[in-house]
Amino acid sequence: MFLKRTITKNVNIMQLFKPKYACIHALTRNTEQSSPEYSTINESEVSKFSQIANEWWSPNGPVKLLHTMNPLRISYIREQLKNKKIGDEVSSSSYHHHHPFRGLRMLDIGCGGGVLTEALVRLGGSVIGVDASDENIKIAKLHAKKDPILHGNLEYQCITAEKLLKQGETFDVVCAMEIIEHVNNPVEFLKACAGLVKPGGGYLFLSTISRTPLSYILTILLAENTFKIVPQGTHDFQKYLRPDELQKIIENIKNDDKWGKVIDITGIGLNPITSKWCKLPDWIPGKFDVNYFLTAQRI
Amino acid sequence: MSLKYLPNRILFQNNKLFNINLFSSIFRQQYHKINIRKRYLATVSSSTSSDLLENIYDIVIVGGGISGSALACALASSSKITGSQKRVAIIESSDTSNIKGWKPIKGEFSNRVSSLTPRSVEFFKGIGVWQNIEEERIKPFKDMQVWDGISDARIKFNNENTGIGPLAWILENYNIHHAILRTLDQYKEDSDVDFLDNTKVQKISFDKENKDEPFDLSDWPCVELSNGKKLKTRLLVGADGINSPVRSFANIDSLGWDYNSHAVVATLHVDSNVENKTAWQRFLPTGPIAMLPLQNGYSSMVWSTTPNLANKIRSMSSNDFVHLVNAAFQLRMADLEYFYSQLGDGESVDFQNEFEWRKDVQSKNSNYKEEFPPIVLGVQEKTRAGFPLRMRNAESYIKERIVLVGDAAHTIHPLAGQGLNQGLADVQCLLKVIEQGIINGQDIGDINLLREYSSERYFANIMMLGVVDKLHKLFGTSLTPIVLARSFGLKVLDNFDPIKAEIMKFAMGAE
Repeated sequence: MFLKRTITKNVNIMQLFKPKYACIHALTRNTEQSSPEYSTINESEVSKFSQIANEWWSPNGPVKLLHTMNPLRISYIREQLKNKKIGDEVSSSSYHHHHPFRGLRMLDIGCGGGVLTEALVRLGGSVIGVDASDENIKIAKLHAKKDPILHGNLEYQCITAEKLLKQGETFDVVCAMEIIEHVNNPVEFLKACAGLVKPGGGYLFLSTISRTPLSYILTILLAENTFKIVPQGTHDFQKYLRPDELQKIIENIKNDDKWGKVIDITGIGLNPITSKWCKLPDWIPGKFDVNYFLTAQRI
Repeated sequence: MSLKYLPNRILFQNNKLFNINLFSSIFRQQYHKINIRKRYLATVSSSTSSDLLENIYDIVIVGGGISGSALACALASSSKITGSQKRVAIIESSDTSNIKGWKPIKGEFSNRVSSLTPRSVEFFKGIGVWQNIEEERIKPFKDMQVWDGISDARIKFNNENTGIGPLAWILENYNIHHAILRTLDQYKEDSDVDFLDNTKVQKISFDKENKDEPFDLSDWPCVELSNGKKLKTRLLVGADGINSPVRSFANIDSLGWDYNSHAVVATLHVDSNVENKTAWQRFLPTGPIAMLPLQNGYSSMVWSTTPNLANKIRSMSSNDFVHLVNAAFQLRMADLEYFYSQLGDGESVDFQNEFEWRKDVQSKNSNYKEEFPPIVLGVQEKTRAGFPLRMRNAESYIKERIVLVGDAAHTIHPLAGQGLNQGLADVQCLLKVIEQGIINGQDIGDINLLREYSSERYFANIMMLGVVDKLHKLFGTSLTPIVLARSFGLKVLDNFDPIKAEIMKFAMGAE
């Protein structure tokens, strides 16, 4: 379907692999271009995910892959935060071993039904989950009632990252997982996310899909069109960002001073036999070519 | 109950999210969880939610048999589970005081014994159970002989010179169960496991009327007990045996069939001049008969045979029984058939005489000398018992918030001594999966997590069930071509060490 569209437009196939947002390259020159009312929320994306709101927690539903990816996302965040000092808390005592995120104020942007959010709370975090879709937030709130352990440390809001930033909120940890590929302007969006990270060592976790021929084949041709593991139209290939592009955007963000730096990029993959997600080892060529995690730390 | 379940918002109406967290983390460090539970319950005892909080569990295990109590013990031993303050309850309908108070009596053995594979023993060591086993009642064996009742083709497994250690350990079930309950007791201080024995499960249901505000526990299984309590649980474990009520509640079918045979067990007194170090099994056309070493002078017998014969074997006189067992291990099929024909008749022959002269004739005519189990001299009073044999496998081991382990999930023919070992492997796997779920912040009742348990155990169990069932069928016939083929197979296997080593590994529970 996607191919047909590009062909009728007489677009060279190679253009597919160029980023959709010209401003990525203009970033170094101008980072202060946004108007105050500008929103990175893509209405059609929001309605797309609102439609499946009821399916967030169905075990074989359209977001099944997200559920299977979640343990790896959590173990990645755990690993990156292990024994690191954030604010006044050090996550190393024996008690914290079982609740590694205790004492951390965390934000999950694009929380959907709360798949990641709930897990962060269970590991001790004080978490706010935000999503642009009111439907998602309703589902997330309903689902959170099903587990008493979440009570008191979890809050959901239907709000955008930009608005939160304007309210002057900051967090020890900001997660924006599997969301950058769904927003209108990733540069602006990432600036808002980055601004929400507490200065002086707060963390930003990102997870997205790279823009390569392989990722096109796997995430669009196979996952969406052929095997229909994810609903068709979930992804827009041109919105994918390569890790180097993402790193460039983040490291070029300027508040008064330089924002911070990327400290880790990890490629991940889905084992088709065990249907488990795993970190890709270093020897795999093109390990960043499809899904990857990225950690950045604010100075 | 730990503080995690407290509805903080009831206590502090206008707080901000993170004040609560600070408050509760200070609290957590200062007070022991039990104190907090009491404290909290005291303050809100008039409220309806106190009852709810008291009876919310993370894991409820139905069935306190060996698998169920081993799971409780494994959970109590795990720092990941106790560290994250998981609440566990285990419900057993019978009174366990006789198991808790079990003491071995010299020269007397229970008729119910199990053979533990090296893997099961390792697991017991890991969760602290093995240290509590009565040491003088453990019989490891390195030597096993299995032979065909019709052709006498034989396969010998011997681990004596391989350095791998014993093939298996024979223990009375009482010894195992006693050690588990004792270990569980030792973990009492550091874990939150409630052992409720003498308590029956009245009903399992989902409590659809949501009275749990501010929570919604309508999809948590609710277990109603004979003491009037209702336990709501994040994860319900069915360790409740072949007719598992938990499995019925989950609406999971159990597939399989009943073998047309019963097992007769007994504790035998055997010739104490022979070193008792070998497990023996002879495949008779009616089913296998096995003799497992307990100590010098004592062995345990499991004889699977037709229901009709089983009844006669159980009720015949002890004296005749002893010689029938000797005949079943040592004489040719035709001779054994003669013994069968004499069963149940008022005027039967002298079994001892019959056995002795037939054995004498047989050894004079035989060109080769085969090894036989030690001669049986007597049987311990009141140890003859019987039960029907079945094969079952649940069509699934999991449902949302429900998981089956042990006999509730699968039942196997005892000929390879694998039933309990499979159940313990289930428990071991479930522990690993729950720990993994806790590390990753998952809800431990989540079906996505439980799938990891079922995908690992379902395949392993069905393999074992299949192999054992085929063995039973293969040796359950007297058709000459099949007898010839299987005897040829046994002889080939016996001379082919690499394959024999693989069989041993499989039977020993290696991955």
